[in-house]
Amino acid sequence: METKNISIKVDNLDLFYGEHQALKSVTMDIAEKEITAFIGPSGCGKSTFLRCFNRMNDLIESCKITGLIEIDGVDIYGKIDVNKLRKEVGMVFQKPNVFPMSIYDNIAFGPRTHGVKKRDYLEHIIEDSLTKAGLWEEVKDTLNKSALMLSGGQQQRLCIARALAVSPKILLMDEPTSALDPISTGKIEELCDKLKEQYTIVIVTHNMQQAMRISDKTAFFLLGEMLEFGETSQVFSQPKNKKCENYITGRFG
Amino acid sequence: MGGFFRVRASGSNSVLCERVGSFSFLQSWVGGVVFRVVFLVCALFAGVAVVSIFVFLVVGGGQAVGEIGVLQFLFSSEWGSYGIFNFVLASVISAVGALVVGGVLGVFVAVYICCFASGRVRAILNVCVNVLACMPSIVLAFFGVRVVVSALGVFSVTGDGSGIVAVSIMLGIMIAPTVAVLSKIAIAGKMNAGGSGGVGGARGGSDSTYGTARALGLSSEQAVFGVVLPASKSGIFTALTLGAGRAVGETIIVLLLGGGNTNIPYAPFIPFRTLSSNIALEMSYASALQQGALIASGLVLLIIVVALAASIWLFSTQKTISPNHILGRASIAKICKRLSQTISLVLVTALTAIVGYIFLQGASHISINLIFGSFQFSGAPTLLSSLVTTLMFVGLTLLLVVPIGVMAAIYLSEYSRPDSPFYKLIDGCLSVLSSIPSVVFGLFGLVFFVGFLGFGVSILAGCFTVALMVLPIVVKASGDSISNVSAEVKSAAYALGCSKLGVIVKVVLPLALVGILAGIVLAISRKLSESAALLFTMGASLGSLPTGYSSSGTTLSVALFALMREGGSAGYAYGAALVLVSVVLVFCLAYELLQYRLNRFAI
Repeated sequence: METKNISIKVDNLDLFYGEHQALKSVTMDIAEKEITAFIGPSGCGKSTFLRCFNRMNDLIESCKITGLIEIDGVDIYGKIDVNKLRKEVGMVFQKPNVFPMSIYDNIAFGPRTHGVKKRDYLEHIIEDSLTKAGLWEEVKDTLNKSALMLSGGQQQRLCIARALAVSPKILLMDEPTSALDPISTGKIEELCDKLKEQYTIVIVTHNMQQAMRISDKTAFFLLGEMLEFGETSQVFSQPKNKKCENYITGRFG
Repeated sequence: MGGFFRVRASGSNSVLCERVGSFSFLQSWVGGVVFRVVFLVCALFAGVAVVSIFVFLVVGGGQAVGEIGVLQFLFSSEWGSYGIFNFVLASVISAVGALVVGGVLGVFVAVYICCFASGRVRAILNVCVNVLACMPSIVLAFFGVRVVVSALGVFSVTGDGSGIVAVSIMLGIMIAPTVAVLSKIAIAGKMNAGGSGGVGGARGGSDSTYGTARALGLSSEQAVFGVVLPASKSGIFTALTLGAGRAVGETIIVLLLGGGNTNIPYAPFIPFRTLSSNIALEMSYASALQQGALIASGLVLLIIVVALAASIWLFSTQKTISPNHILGRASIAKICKRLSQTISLVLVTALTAIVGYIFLQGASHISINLIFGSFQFSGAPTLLSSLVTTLMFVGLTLLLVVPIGVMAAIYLSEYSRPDSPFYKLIDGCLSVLSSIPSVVFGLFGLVFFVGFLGFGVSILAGCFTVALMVLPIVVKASGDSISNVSAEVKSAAYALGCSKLGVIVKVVLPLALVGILAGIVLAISRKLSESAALLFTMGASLGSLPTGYSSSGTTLSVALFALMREGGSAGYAYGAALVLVSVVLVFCLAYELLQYRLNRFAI
């Protein structure tokens, strides 16, 4: 296998919510243009960890972070513009959180925020990102309808398109299919597979089959510690860690 | 600090990056700081307003009290030598009277709405309570004078029915909606699923106090009166206390129904004055010392009201629920249920009577000339100048209060945490501001805007005074609706790299708009109803068309007051009351519709 460039480099990361330590000295390298899955039982810190990459944890006041995260060689907890970081590192949430606006305005929100004003250019971005999210054919005639009229699965793909519209390099997905039916889930998984040609994807999932199906690398978290990280096939077939094996085989979790 | 992320030369998605350079104020660091400061200043404004009101009352009244002597001022019953003892006592007595009437009305109606009524009956009762809450006190006073006082005249030796009984009835009707609305919140919390505060939840969910009581085999009446009502005690106490505060502060009803003498109301038909009606009666033509004494009496009134509000904070912590076994007895509980039904009917009848009376009487007295005729000193009164004044007044107050109120709400909900000292301080100031009686605002307006800032008795001074009054309404409604914007939608915007200011302007405000509008409409209906605060800041006699904000004028409410006080204008007063009630009803129903929409399409 070819060696890929490292996109996100994490070194000895600790995270505290007040007194409670939610992440314990996590160290890992996430490769570019691959899908990396985080698995583990509820409350193990995987979502918290994901939110470190675009500094969404900044919004929680009691949250304190020590250690290093570099994206493309830049310390993202150094002196940087957080808003520009979040433009580069897109995020898709657990529940489809479309804005209660038109489909058009949903996608245009990001580009407009970052200063795109020209109408034809906006339209180009909207078509481009909806196409990438596999939604263009379904909504191209109803762009001015409220996004709330879409089904749950369509809304989630709209959220992906919305994230893509600001042309990020990394896409963070926080259990993106946990609120969706199997068919919509399947579509999103296919989409991820296509998107990894252009984007680095980090996905948190509760669904181990999903991790197995779509990811290249898998990391297993338990109680704030990363106990196992490696090629997905290896993690699922020959886990090195006993607890990871118990979790994967369904003995707890 | 910007473009450290290397833009890759290849890849279709990097094309955006070239255009990102264009400057956006919302995204910029400067914009964030500038607006944060602006929001902060607006939030601080509420605190400054409360402090200034206290300071100006203390400064304005302090010297006079010094001359009169504190003991003489507080404990003498001779108003001739500026003793306010009788007024304080009269205020307390009329508040107690109002509580007897309004407390019973409000609490039982709340019980009936929350616990027994369903479907359409419940909806109608809710609308009735809200419409009654919108009724200007001048309209209630008008109804009181024309109907209640003349009816009571039969029992009076002198044939004049005005006095403490009439005052208690009308004050009671005035505070009943306040008591009902607040009790409803307390009772619904124990009735509905979702435990505390689950106002919208289904009735009798198994996790509610009511559901638990029913599960133990109590009948619905027994559960309501034996368990739910005792459990809602602290909330009902709050409702009654705030109701009492409103009754103590009310001016116009007491002034018009209580008569003018400086007695203590020791018998049903003795004419008397309270602290507030005394201020309204004498302020406009008071000498210097007298004015000082009136301002000081306003301070006393303010202290009483704030002390009432503070008592809620001190005494309303209730941890355990102790069922009431007397009310819980099957037979008594049944009687109580019947009672709550009957009293709800009384409230609806009272409202129908008030509105019906004014519409029926008004319809026969209204004419094109009354509304649009031009003003002549010798001719029949017209409302044209009042309509114009009302428009000017509502417009300018909105312009003053909406930006400050909304921006203060933004600071409180987006930039500070509810448990921080700053939030508590400003929130406390807003509560104090909303409990200050309108006649005290009038005094402050007279001392500060009319006198100190030199606006004179003018529409401008009236606007500034009332803007302060309605500020808490706008901040509260905007704040509630801003904090209701879903955190998930906000984080979606943050995750796209939107700055905090950007999220507020482009996501939070548009989504909170309906709630903010509802607050504004409520504020408008309060402004239309206001009269006591305007009497000596804006003018109290009908006149020609205002030429600008520096001329004096009367709003519709004050015009009705003026027409009632002028003998011989009885018919015109009916017409004016009809116009006023119609306008207020329009805004009141608009508010209801917005609320309905808000609950229906809540995001």
